[in-house]
Amino acid sequence: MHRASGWNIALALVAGAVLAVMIDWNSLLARHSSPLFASWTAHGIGVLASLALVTLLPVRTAAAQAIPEGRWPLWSYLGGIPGAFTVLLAAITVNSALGLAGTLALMLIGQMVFGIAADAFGILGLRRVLPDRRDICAIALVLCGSIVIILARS
Amino acid sequence: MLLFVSLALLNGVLIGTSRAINGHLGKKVGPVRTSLWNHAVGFIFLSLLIGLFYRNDLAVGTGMPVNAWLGGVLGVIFVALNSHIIPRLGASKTTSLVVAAQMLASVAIDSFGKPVSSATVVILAGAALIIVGVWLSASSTKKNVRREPAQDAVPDHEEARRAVP
Repeated sequence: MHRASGWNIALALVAGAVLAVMIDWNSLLARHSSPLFASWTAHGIGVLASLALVTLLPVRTAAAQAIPEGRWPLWSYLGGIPGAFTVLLAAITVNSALGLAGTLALMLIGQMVFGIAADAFGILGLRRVLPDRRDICAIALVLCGSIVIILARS
Repeated sequence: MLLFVSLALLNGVLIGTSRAINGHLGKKVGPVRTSLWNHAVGFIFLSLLIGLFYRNDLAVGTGMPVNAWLGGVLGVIFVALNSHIIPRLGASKTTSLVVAAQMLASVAIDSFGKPVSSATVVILAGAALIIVGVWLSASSTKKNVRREPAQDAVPDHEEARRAVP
């Protein structure tokens, strides 16, 4: 396999592990306060942490600038809004008949279907690529395994 | 019930949307600055929500462990990594790999120090399915993931047209 791809796969797996620990810590905060407060605090701390990183890290964005000049779409700055909204929706559905397990399972399905559709149609600046049979099988396996785990834990 | 099901599905779509948008910004300002934008915009948005509708949600209990406050630091790392990867691997592959590692890590965190029960067997079976999925995903060799990183950062319309038969 090509090295660049292998690296990105490894980074994606690291990102998933970081996400799991993050959710663990954020829900600890949410249990002592409220989901909304926890998300608000996490975003606030995140602003400070990313500001520190931006200041401390050497400027290395030059490589990314080799893109067509001109106005970058405004929506690309607004990724934080759907991200922040997530917490509110999750708080609503977890407290419904769906419970935590149902909410998690449906959120995973939503994410996977969105991912496939976003690639297939090339929306939001993604390169348009139809996932092949192997990719779909991989996604289905991860999804099934995740739902098995979620249901076994509930 | 149907309403809540749709809300939960929509929530998954929102998560994906957020990550794809950040991936797009990452191509311009780099992953770390994208993480700053994501958290700053999210913080302002949540401040408005709390200020307008949820002012009573601000009570905090006592005896909070330190790490409960530090989820945001991990969030910064997560958004940066994700914004770096999405333009390179695509949304579906990134999502399945991230979810896979997330589930496996959460199983590891959850089962730490817990006795083995019948549920453990089912959970391990689920984990095995996920691992096979990751292996399948990692071993799939496609044109779009075998390009040089420098080219990856630029959406090449010629390539894109060839990738879709």
